[in-house]
Amino acid sequence: MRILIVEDEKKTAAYLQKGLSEQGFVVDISPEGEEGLLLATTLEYDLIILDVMVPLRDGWSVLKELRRRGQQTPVLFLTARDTIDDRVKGLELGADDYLIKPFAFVELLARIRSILRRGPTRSVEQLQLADLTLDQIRHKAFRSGQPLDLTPKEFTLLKLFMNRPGEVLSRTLIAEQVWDVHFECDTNIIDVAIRRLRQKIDDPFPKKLLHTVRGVGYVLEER
Amino acid sequence: MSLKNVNHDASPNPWSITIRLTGLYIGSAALILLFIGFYLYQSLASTLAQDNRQFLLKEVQLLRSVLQEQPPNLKRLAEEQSEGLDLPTGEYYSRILDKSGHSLSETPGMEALPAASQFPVLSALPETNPIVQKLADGRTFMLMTASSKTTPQKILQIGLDISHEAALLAAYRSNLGWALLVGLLLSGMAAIFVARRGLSQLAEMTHHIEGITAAQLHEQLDPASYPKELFSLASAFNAMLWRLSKSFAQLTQFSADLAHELRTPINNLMGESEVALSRPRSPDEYRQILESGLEEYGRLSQIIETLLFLARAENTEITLHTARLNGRAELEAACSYLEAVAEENGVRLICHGQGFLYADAQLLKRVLSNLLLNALQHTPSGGEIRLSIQTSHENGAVIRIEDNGTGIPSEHLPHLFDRFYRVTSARSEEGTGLGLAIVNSIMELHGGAVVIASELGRGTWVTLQFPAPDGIIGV
Repeated sequence: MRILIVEDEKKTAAYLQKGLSEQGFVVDISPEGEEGLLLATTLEYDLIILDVMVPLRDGWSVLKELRRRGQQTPVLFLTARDTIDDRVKGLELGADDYLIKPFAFVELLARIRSILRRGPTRSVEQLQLADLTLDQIRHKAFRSGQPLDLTPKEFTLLKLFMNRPGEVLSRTLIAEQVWDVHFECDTNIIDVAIRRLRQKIDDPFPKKLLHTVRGVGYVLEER
Repeated sequence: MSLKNVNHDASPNPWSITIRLTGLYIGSAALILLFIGFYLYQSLASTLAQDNRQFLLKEVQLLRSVLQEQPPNLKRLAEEQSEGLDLPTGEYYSRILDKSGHSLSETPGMEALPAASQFPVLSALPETNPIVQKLADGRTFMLMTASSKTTPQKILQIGLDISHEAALLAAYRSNLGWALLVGLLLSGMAAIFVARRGLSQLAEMTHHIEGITAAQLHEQLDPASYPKELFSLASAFNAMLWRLSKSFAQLTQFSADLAHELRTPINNLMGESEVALSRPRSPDEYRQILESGLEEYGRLSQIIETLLFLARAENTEITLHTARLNGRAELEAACSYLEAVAEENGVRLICHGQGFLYADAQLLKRVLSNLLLNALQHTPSGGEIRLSIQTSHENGAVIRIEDNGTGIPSEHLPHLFDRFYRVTSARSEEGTGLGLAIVNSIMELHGGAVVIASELGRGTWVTLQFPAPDGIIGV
């Protein structure tokens, strides 16, 4: 997967390149809009990450020009400007997503993955990880064949993790996906919810599946 | 804070108060002077006319008595008729006509006066009203016709030379005109002077106000030193100064609090990094320091996000996506968000009531979760938090969140919505101290209100008031 990042802030560009490369993406960096547009139109990218405020040609204009030329490459905006109008403008111009600085890297990763994953989503009846099973149709979860007594929200939470095994999910993303909460709130709320889920799915069993990535979020995986 | 950019160079409205006052003053002075002049002239003219008429009537009586003498005394008539000449006050002439209009006798010089037909025509009354006529030679005459009251009836025509009075009246008119003109000029000048003098206190006030800077907002005007008309302006201005200085103080306090708030996480970051770099560490130690740093960054970015939100809410830059929401469902959704925390604290969340309300769903969720989080922090295990919704046509929707927890000491109640205000002074725990400020901002954005009541040991009761939307029945 090849990603173009148009970002003039050197530190930002550098850590994004490093982080995304380590996740297996091939990353190109352009520090300004004109060059970014040239790269975007001459090379094949799976995703373009655009900073709004870049020299020579701003992010809006790069996106507009791309769409004018019929390029449908997905675009994710990064910006420190976050008035609602900006957000609406970005999405109206055909951006696929919009992330406001400061953002957590796992947040960016999650959004990139969800953009690249878009398309017909196959819904599987049963999700499986190690000896943990989630039956989406009957709304039931089992560990080592024993039924787990989960509340509806706990079930939704577990389903989110089961759908993205091995992926670190930030608290912000969890709050959005499970409770439709799109604002900063006490992160402790998510921690408590995870702790209670863990008591049910991990505590009674020797092998732990739900792990904390300190300062970042949580991941469900076999270690 | 958004201050409108006022153009200080803008020229004032050309119709200044001085010009308006002067105009009004001259206008009213002109009306009054005109009225007085007209009245004086009229009364003089009518007195003169009345005198002349009396004189003519007296003359008519004289002629009648001569004519009524038997036998007719023609000599005396001629004497009587020529007596009116050589008078210093004005000559008068008379003519006696028979019934068919033939002149029987007349004063010498009568031929210069208008012909008999020009005199007023006698009707039922014994005398006509006098008329005034100007002759070609410049003299002005008052003419009157009367019956002789004899049989056969004769007609008396008398003309009085009133040129003298006419000249007098003409001079009077022109004098009046000049007096009017000079009066108007004088009153105009007086008006300018009075207006300037009257407005001088306004100029003085302006001067005083110009001297007030942000540093001396307490330097207020003394309303008592201004006249009654400016008293309320001065008082209103003082009230504005007071509000401004309060906002200033709040802003200063806020900046200080903000600096303090940022100091703690930054201090942690600096210290940890410095200590870490002071000697080689194991990878595990480095990892721990980075993780701890990440937590502090999270704290900082949460403060920034929240402050930005508050600033925007204050400038009403936030667009409300108001929708008709099922109140009960929203309460339950908020409870489900905090259900894990509640269960862990051993606190029951109970929702009741039904009703629809008009609000922004995300912002409502933010309000409810902030309030629930607060309630959970102050409710011990075994307690309960009741959420209810009630709607009415007049008052819109009311949401209540009531806990039976520890309650809030009353001295804190007035400050609960201040930014960074915490009931417990320890700032290590429980959030940013911005939660209730956000609740308040969001309620204001909705045109609603939040009221918090509390009693130590009994609990806290929060009331959220959402207004009924205009023109829509809210239930």
